[in-house]
Amino acid sequence: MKKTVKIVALISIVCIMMSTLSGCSFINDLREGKVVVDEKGDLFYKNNVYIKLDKDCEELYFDYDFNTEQEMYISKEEEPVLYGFFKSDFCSLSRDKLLIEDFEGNIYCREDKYDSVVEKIENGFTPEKYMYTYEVYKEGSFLDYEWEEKIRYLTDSDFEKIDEVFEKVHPITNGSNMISNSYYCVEMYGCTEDLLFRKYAFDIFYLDDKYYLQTEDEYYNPLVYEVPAKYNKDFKKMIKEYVDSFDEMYY
Amino acid sequence: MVKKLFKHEFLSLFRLMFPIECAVLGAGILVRFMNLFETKSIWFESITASSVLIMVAALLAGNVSAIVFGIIRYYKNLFSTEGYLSFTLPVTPAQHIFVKAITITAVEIIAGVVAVISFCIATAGDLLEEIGNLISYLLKMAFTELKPVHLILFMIELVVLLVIKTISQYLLYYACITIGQLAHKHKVLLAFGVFGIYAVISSVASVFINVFAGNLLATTNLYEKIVQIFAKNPYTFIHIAFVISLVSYLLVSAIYFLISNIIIKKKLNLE
Repeated sequence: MKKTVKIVALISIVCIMMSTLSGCSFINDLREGKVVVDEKGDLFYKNNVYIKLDKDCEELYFDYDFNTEQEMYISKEEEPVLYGFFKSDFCSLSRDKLLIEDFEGNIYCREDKYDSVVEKIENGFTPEKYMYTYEVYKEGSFLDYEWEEKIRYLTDSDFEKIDEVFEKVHPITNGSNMISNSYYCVEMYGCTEDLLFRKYAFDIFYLDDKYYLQTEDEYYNPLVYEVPAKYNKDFKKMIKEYVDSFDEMYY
Repeated sequence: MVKKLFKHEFLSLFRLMFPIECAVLGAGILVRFMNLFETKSIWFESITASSVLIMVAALLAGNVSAIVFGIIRYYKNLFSTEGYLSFTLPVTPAQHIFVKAITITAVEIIAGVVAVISFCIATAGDLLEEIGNLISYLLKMAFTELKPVHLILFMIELVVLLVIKTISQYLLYYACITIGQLAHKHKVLLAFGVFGIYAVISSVASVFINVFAGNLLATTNLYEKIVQIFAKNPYTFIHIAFVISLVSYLLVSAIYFLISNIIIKKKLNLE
């Protein structure tokens, strides 16, 4: 009996000693995700300073581009990681590590790019590309359906056809409610090359075996253009990814 | 003689509680051991979660078993055939009750300490370090925001209150068992019945008291006066609240103690 107790005690001590030498991934993740805030309100993360953008810009950044896989939170330097975590001032970092968005929706820009971003916000930007987003089922998820957002850029030939429709086709009168009856409606955005800025450009929607484009006039009234039948195949190919993901999600 | 009684009580309870507390420590070691092999695999995460559940069950079992063993020990030692021996000892019934209440409270405290050790084992390493950092930071904040003297007094009052409350709870159980042993048959059933009746009466009484107090506060300006007093002297207010709670628990403990003592002296009914 004494020998058994000694052996059990020895095994327990070895287990405990081994366990103290190993780390804890939860704590490691928390330590990795700590964003320090100073008295001025600037954020510090991995040797970078992030300054708050005081400008209000709805066209800035894409939600999808914020990395939500790593739990990040804003905390003071002296606060322990668990305190910061329980305070729940969560934030997320953009994948290019340029921006941080806090839980109140404030955006902080990295110091080295701050001036150029502010300038673009103040002076506006010219879209360099056009795109839409769609969601695909994430491979490898076990119990829940996990979706990730993808981007489909419009090619030059896509945009030639769209331009042609806008230039040569007359807008439909009384077409303002058509979009609400459509089967599919894809929002197109103009964006910068680095996806930092985007703004709504137009919609493509499908109704009664035809494709339509919808944009807005200067008074925000909807303008609907019917796509010529000869381009139906091209428009079908253009929004194929969106339609496939839509069908997979809802049917 | 009382010292010997303490010693034997502790030994009996220790024999009963030792395997359970070993299981509690073992559960903590199991959890920490499972966390050595951290992977993102869903199967491994399920096994780790199961080990945490086992630990939670062990902690609950440790706590509940202390209560159960304490009650069983009281009943068997005083009201079963063992009682014939117990009451031949040169110890008064009051001393018997006192010794049992104190030892089971001490065993509960030890069970609590073992639970904390088990938790520390389960979280050993970075997690425990960060928990330590969190606790020390919160204490530092508390000492900065509140007056240290009062904070220390609050801690002492809280500990004393918890100990008195535990003793009071066991004296209640003992009183129920002592009343139960008055029956010729189904003594345990009567004890449960007495506890049930007490629980119902105390719930109903607390509802009436709450309604009465609520009405009183709503219809008079007593609430504003209480808030004013609290705003002016918050520390004194809290100390007074602690002292009132302590005195009430001591009072009810005394009542439960007297019930058990008087019944054992006058109406002992051994098997």
